[in-house]
Order: sequence, then structure tokens, then C-alpha cells
Amino acid sequence: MMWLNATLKTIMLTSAVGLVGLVVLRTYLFPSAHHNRGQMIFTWLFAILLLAASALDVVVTIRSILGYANAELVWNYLQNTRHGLALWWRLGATLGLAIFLSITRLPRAVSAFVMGISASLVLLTFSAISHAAAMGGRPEIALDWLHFMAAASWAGGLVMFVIMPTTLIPSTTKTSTTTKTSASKTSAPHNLVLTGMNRLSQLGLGAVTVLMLTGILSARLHVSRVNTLVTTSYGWALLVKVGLVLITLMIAAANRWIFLPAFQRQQSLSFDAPETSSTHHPLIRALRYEAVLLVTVLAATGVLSTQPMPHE
Amino acid sequence: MSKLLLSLILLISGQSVFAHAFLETSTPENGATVDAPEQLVLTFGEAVETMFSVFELHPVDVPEDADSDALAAIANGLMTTHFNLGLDSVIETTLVTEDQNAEVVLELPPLEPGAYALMWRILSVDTHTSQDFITFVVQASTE
Repeated sequence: MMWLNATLKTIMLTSAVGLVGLVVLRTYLFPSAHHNRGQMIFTWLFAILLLAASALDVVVTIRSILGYANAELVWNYLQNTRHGLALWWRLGATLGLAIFLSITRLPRAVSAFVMGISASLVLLTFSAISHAAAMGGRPEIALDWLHFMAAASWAGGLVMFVIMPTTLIPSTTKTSTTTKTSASKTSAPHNLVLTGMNRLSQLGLGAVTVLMLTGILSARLHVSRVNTLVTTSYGWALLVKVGLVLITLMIAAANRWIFLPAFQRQQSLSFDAPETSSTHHPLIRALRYEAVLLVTVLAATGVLSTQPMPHE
Repeated sequence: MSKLLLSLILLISGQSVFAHAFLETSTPENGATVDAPEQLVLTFGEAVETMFSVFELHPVDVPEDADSDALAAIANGLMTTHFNLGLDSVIETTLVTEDQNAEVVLELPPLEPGAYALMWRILSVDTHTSQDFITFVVQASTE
């Protein structure tokens, strides 16, 4: 039962972060890029996974308390618990977000505003029923929310960026493989990718800053005994997550200050076979490792959120 | 030093490490011998979804010379064999607290002298479940 619970939590987290990543991609990394069917498929895949896993999570939760679940209990639960209330908000915000992500002809400022609000609401439905919410009041929820928004923007943006060149804007990247005679056509998608990389790097820096600030404030609110970190399953899951985050931060730092400048120098020197040189550049490989690690961190967070916390 | 280490870990993880819906206090206290109480008050470390939590009061047969540890050991066994099974031996209580609350109040019927175990499985607002029990002994009225 615990692993089912952890799997559902991981699916929910990953899907929500994926939706946030699509918003980041659409409104910040590549606001002028062509949007196609691939993006639409990801949008609805994440939305359906998030809502389906959330619904199953209710049934699993009720069964874990009462030993059984039926339609009447589920309906009562949805109407009378904080978890239920959060899920109604999640349903509305997720559907709204998916619909706005599917609309391609909205003014950029309007779509950015509406999608930003919807994505924030989706994440708030997690913070409202998090450990932080159970521990305290609004300051703890606000901190958790900020922390989650920073992490989701970074992880989601990065994962979508890694997927993007082959699926999300194929019409632009494929033109880059044409001959040198169309230099302007060749440079356009590369400028797009370079701009996106720069923005992703800035986003990562900002996200890490927010993660550190909210982490410090959380520590001031919740700091307690350290020995339970190695004497409980929760403590071990937390340590694994922290280890993964540290490795990710090192890769992110290398990307920001070593690989990205090198990539920019290389791209500014030559437009020869740009796609080949791009996909084999150490920066692209490092970004992929970083994305895989961040998804693993999400899985660790899913496991963590199902662990009973140490008894103080 | 340990606080510094924990601060660093929390800084990176953003997690709240030490919280759960465990019992903080109760009236009567766990293991206490009291006059027949009219209600039980349980205070947990987190708000509890009372509509989706289970509280059961069970009478416990114990030898007269049993101390509170022995009573707790017997109640621990009963938690496995009797809790949440719809048994007739459960003493009916009334849940006074509504919605989400860290303090749960149960009204009790008049209790005969003897040992009792209040068992629970609770759902906290962060959707975690936990279960535990307290024991107490109702002494014969001195009036």
C-alpha cells in the first residue's frame, strides 16, 4: 500500500511539474516558438495523469483509514476534508491550465498571466495538504508553496527544454540542418535555442536562490533533532533526496559557468552542421543528466511525502 | 553542530522534518487511574480530519495486580485483534469535535470501574495516517 501511495504521489508531482514546465517553456524560454501537436499531447497527458492519480489517491487514503472505500465515502471525503477541497481546486486549475496551454492564439501577456496563475494554483493544492500545512499555519504553507514553485519551474523548465528540440519545435530545428546557403534560416533556430539556454540558466539561478531562502526560513521554523535522520525511513529518504539535489546543483553550476559559455563561443564561431554540434555538445549531455536527476528528486519527494515523520 | 547540519539539510530540501499527528496530551492521561470521566480529550500535534478518523473505546480485562505497563501491553494486543472490526464489545462514544482540529473530544457513557483502552486511527490534514492508543483505569466511586 505504501508503494502504491508513493507511486501515486510521484505521478502527481511529476505531472504537475511537467505542466509548470510547459508554462515556463511557452511563456519564458520560447515565447515566440512554434507550438505544435507534441506540446498539446504533453499538456493533456500531464493533466490526465495528475487528475487520475489524485482521484486514486483519495480512494487509497480512505482505504488506509477505514479498510474499504465506496462512492458515498469518496463523495463525503471530497466535500468534508481539506484534501477533498484541495482536489476540487486542483481539478479546476489543472483543466483551466490545460485549456489555456492548448490555445495558441491568445495575446502573449494574457496567456502568460492566466497560465502563471493557474500553474501557481495547481502547486498550491499540494502545499495546502503538505507536511508544512499540517504543522502550522499560513507562513509554513506560503514557504512550502514558494519552494515548490521554484523547484517546479526549474525542474519542469529544464525537462521540457531537454525534450523540446526533437518534439516541441521540430519545424524550426529541422530547418537548421539545411545547407549553408540559407544562413539566416540556420541562425534563427539556433538563436532561439541559445536564448532559451540563457533564460534557462537564469531561471535555474533564480530558482536556487529562492530554494535557499525558503529553505533557511523553513529551517528556522522547524529545526529540531538531527539523530532521527539516520534512525527513521523518513530521515533516510530525506538524506537521499538531499544527496541528489547536491549532485544536481553541481551539474547545474558546471552548466551555468563552464558548458554554457563554451557552447555560446562554439556557436558564435561556426554555423556548420549546427544541429549535430549542438546535440553532441557536453552542455546538452549535462543538461540531460541534470533533467534525469531532477526527475529522480521528484520521485524521492514522492516517497518522502508518504513516509511517517519522526515522532518528536 | 547537529542543529547546523539539520539547518543545511532543511535548507536544501525545504522539508519539515519533525511533525506528525501524534498524541501530545490527553485527559485522562495515559495510564492514569481516575473517577469515571464524562469525556475524553485528545490533543494531537497536527489537525485531524475527525470525520475520517476512527476512535474506539474498549474495555480491557486485566488482573487486579496489573500495573500500567501490563495494561498497555494487553491493550497493544487488543489493537491488533479488536480494533476497527465492528465488534459488539466497543463502548459507544460520541465525537464532539467537527471538521479539522488538533483537539478531539469524545463524550462517554457512564463507565463501570475497570480498565479501558481508547484506540484510534487518524487521518491528519496532510493525508497521513497514524494509529495508537491510551489506557486508563476507572476506580470504584468513593461516595
